[in-house]
Amino acid sequence: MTGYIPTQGCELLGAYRIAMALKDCVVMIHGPTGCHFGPNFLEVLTNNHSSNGTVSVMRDRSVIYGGIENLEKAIAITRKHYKDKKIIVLSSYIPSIIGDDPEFIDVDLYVDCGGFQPMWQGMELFLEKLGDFIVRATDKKVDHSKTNLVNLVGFQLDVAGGEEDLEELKRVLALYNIRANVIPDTLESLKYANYASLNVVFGYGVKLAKRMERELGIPYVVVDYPYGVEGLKCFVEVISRHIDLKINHGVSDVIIDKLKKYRDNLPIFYEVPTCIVGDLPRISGLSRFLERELGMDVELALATSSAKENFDVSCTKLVNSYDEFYEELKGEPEIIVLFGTDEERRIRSDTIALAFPSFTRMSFVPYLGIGTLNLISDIYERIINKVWVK
Amino acid sequence: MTYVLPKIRLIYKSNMKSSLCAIYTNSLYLYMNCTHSRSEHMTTIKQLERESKGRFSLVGPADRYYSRMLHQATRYSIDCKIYGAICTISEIKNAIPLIHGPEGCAYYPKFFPTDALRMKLLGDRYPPPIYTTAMTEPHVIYGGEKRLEDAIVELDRKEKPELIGVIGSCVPAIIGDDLESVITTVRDKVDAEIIATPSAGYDDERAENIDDLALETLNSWKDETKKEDIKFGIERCGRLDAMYSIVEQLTEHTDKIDKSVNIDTFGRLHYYEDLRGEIEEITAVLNKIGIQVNTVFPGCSVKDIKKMPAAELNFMRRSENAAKFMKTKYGIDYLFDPLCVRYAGLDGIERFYMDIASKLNLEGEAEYTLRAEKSMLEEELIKIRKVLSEKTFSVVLIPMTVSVDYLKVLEFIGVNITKLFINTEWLERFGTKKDHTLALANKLSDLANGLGIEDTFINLDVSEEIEKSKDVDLAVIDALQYDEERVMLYESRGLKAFSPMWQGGYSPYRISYRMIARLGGAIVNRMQSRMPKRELLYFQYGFDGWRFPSLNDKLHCQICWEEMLDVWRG
Repeated sequence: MTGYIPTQGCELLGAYRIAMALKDCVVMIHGPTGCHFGPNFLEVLTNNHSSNGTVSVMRDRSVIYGGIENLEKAIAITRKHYKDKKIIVLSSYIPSIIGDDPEFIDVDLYVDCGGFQPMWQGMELFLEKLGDFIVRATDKKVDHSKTNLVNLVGFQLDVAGGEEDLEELKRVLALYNIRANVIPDTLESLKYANYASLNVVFGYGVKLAKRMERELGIPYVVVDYPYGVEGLKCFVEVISRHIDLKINHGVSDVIIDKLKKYRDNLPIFYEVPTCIVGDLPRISGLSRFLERELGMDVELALATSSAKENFDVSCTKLVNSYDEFYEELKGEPEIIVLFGTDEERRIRSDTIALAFPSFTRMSFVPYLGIGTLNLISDIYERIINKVWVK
Repeated sequence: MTYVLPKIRLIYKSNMKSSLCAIYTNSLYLYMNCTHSRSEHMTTIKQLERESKGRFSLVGPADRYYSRMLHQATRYSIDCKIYGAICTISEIKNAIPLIHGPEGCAYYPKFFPTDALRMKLLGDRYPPPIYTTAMTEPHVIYGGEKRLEDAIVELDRKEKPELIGVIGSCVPAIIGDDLESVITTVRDKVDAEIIATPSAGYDDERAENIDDLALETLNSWKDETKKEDIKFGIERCGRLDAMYSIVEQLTEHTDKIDKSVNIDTFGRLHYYEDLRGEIEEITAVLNKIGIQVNTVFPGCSVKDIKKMPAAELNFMRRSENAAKFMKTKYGIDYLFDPLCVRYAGLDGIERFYMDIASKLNLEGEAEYTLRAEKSMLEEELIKIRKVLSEKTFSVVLIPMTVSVDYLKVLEFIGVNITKLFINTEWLERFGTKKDHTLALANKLSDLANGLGIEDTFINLDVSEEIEKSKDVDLAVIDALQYDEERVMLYESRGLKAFSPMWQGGYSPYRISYRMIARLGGAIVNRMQSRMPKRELLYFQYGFDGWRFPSLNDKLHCQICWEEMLDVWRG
């Protein structure tokens, strides 16, 4: 295939997404305005708090004479307005092709994202770079088996409900007396990453985890997004293989107990044909929940981003491009519930947008942990809409 | 309290090309974008206006959502040429953009709001599929021309479009891929027409002349003859480059049509404007004069573009280069008027028709037709003026080319302006120098005094502005952006306010008698409507009174971006 509808963003976007999660940093894209407009567009619509991304606004003169002068001016302006923030520069295609040399640029981190790799590799690349800060900050030997701290690596916060999901996971872990350090959270907090007993990698950050295992002796596990009651149980069990904790299913029991109020409705979900779209670690956890716990049928799944590790997606057909997806969708006219991104909302306005990007949905509640009830309730709404509306 | 479910009626006409969606509730009409024939558009709006008893809006939810998305995004960034080029291609019926570049360049535009011209003239709610050649390292090293050629053939086979618009991004521009040679090679292998447009993101002229607009506008206010000098200097932007490429590569020699004109329209981001209504009215009035509209461009088909050379005259509002090209190649004379410099206001509308008519030797017919149009307008305004006669108004304005004519239109309707607030923040935000904006504001103030508006204020904080407006009956808000927030702030402080664009379907940039009448009606309706008590959550967040409605806690991001634009301009 030589021409197609893009399924995911570029390496730069992947790196930008992770970098933007560092609260004590401002992220500058070294490139023309358009390289910043797209990522910024998705960022500010997803989260209105502020915009922590800027750009070195390269023009034609930068292409001829090099872009470093523009970059230095842009950094000076950024420093003036983003006081007390560290500056991360991500370079786009143009500086890479023309060979801008960032050696003497005074910033906290410079990452060349001008490769032509897909978005997920940008996420991996940037997380791997954070390893420098973690290893550099390590000045003493830690007995990793003695701490009850885990690093949650590569959790995607820039989707609807992402922050709430993370808070919920932290709450669940706290019930087992496990503290969580999030990577990325701040550059500052990376220095505590060395104290963790385990790296829990949510699909992205495998290279970082391997390096930390190699250099710091911290083991890692790669997990998908733990949707549902069983998903949460598995998540805790995986952690329990590395950290001494007493398994109890109190959290799951609460969900089961609350669901009792509507338990006779649950058969309505059985074999309802669904379709899911999203990054591989997310659709892996989601498809398992939908099929195994709710009894739905995932007829079609599209992985918008791949990942370094393999994930099993429980579905009839898994595709990797929008071209295949649209083709397959034509043969699936009976899809009742669609999970996905903003793109799928143009196919079905009632799509449950839970994967990147998902700026068309406002959310203040989690879908993970106790949020399983919210997810079930939202799915139920979609099904009922199909039968109850005239 | 009884809650009454809104009465909803869907007006649907089966003979229309697709759906005409006018959703009628007991308090509000929402007129959605649709694809019915142009002649039915104004009739339908008039019918809605009559039936709605004053609660009528041309602005649908999609218009508002898309507009809001753009407001948010452009506070801290600006797009590149690719976005403009995509919009232009998407304004042509059954055309598909193919971005020759890395995959990432085509990823973001998928989420961008549908182009307003596409929505309103082509009746398409969604953008076209945006294809990419997904260049990678080997293409940078060995060239991407073969890949582009294959992608064009594949796209033609798969989507069967009428037009493939090849948009070259930064990467092929740097490595020197020859897009035109590729499309020449591949033309015989595909059914679709193909055009190529260079759109390297760094090669953007929008940055250059932003300050000139203020100076040229000022000069034109000092000396009417200087109006011709206002060009605004945007030719090398993605949108206009693509327009030029389309005209250059698609038009062909054809038989001339006597007394005919091509109308260039604009409004890629103008979701709140009645783009279709303006075109329909211009077409109808020109027909009465005896002039045929040959092609409305864009918002048309490939076939329409091909026959553009049949016209005797071009009326161009954006790309003068395209007009010059057609003059040289096909001998078509043209009128050029960027930003409605010559054709704003009542006199401007008349001048527009007379200029076209005189080029086609139909002045007599035009005078007769315009007399009738104006008398119809006067008749429609009789009742409106009666209602407005005892009332006083304040107006908030950004000084622009159309400002003086706009004030004259308001006075013509019967709006007695007692206070004028001139605000230059919008101009400065986009890089106009402070001394130039102040000179512009002062001159506008003088001209307003000449129109009988005694109290003029320059650059007040929004709270001061509201305080000084307390004694008027209605505040008219036209701040170009964020009118909704301003109207709502006024109303939450107990003063009735009205946005001509949002609530009246009026734009001073549109050549339309009908919109003037509609504006009058909408002002009356607003005055007679109730004003709910509001304590809006939005204003719980501290906002900046000068950069209104920017929120204090992220003001630094916006100011940083404004300074970054200076670096962009060099």
